[in-house]
Amino acid sequence: MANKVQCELCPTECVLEDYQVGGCRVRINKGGVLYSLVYGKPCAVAVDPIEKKPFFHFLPATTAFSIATAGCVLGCKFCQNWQISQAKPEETDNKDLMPDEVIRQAIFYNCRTITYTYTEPAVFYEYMYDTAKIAKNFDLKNAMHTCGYINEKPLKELTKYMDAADVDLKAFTEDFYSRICGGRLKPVLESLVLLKKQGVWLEITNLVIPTLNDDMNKIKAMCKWIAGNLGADVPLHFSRFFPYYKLKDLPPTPLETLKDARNTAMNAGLKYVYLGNLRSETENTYCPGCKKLLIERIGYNVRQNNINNAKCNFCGTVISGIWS
Amino acid sequence: MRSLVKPNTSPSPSSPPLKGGAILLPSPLEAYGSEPTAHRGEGEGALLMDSLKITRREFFSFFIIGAVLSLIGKKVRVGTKPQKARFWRKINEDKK
Repeated sequence: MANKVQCELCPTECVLEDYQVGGCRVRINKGGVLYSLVYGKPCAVAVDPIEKKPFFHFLPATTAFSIATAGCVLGCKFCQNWQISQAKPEETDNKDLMPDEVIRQAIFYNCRTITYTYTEPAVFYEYMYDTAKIAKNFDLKNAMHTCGYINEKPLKELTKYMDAADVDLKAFTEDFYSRICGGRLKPVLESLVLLKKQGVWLEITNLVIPTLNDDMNKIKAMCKWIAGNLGADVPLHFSRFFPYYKLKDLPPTPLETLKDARNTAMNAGLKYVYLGNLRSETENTYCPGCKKLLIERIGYNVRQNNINNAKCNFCGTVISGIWS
Repeated sequence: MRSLVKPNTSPSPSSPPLKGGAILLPSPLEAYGSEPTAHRGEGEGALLMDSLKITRREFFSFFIIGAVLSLIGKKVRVGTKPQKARFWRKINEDKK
């Protein structure tokens, strides 16, 4: 067939026959041309606190205009949004919202940031790219929550407009990525390094799943890799697992496991380690210099903020992040 | 014109059991409300039956109106251009 095409957006690089849809469910080959099925058709539109993404060192206590379309480049068995991430665009309830309208709505709702989130934003790359480009003209920030499973070329181009990225580093073994997510670890690590190198503000989320990726030796190796390759000031969020989708037979992550993971990460040299999906003082930011409380959070709400001009109010230590 | 409402064909409690001892499922009507207990033309049940009667013409009218409203509701846009994707290449197998 002369109409075969190969998608080069994500490392899966699907080869598609005429009228075949990619593994992401949202890119189709029609007559030898690849089309996006979800441009301007988000299935989720919401105004969220930026802390929900989670971004803890990026414009705290502001709101983000959040969009997502159907589809994903991975097929994680623990996905919390599987109803939309593992769906075809025709199976979701989509809105008609072109990039300029996204900007208009974001400004109307007084949002400082547009976030590309909920599902994997790489699948709606063209929509995200165009929206992010326009957003820059209106002094809006762009941030994405991604699995980082994207090829170097498209990611590099996207970083021209992307201010921040929260990357799901799902585990630190190829085996986990292969068995549980249907992907590979190496491209994700390469994306993390590229994002850092391009100056995009980076935070990392790791969902700790009992029996699957809660081995403290692996967590230690992951934290050392983060500290060595990305820097000790990259915030790391350990998130509590709840049984969803295809992993309903597993229990929620025990709190002790999460506390152990946090201690392991701090012993590996990481300065900002948070626990998510639970309420505790581990949601707060403490100064790595004087250890005093800088940002007090309760859920997605910020109770107090003692950071001024990116410095600790008490001892003047510089706190990494984008604060204004 | 004939009515679309068909009489209930569920066997009465005194009917003989089906072959193989199969258990009868409730009649479809019961899912949306109790069947009238009175015989046709008698009591409150008869009134209910009369109000449920629609002609075939009425049925198709409702069907068409519903379809039109559904299309308007979904904002079907004829002629919307699909968006070309980026980052892909053609595979020319002839050259291989």
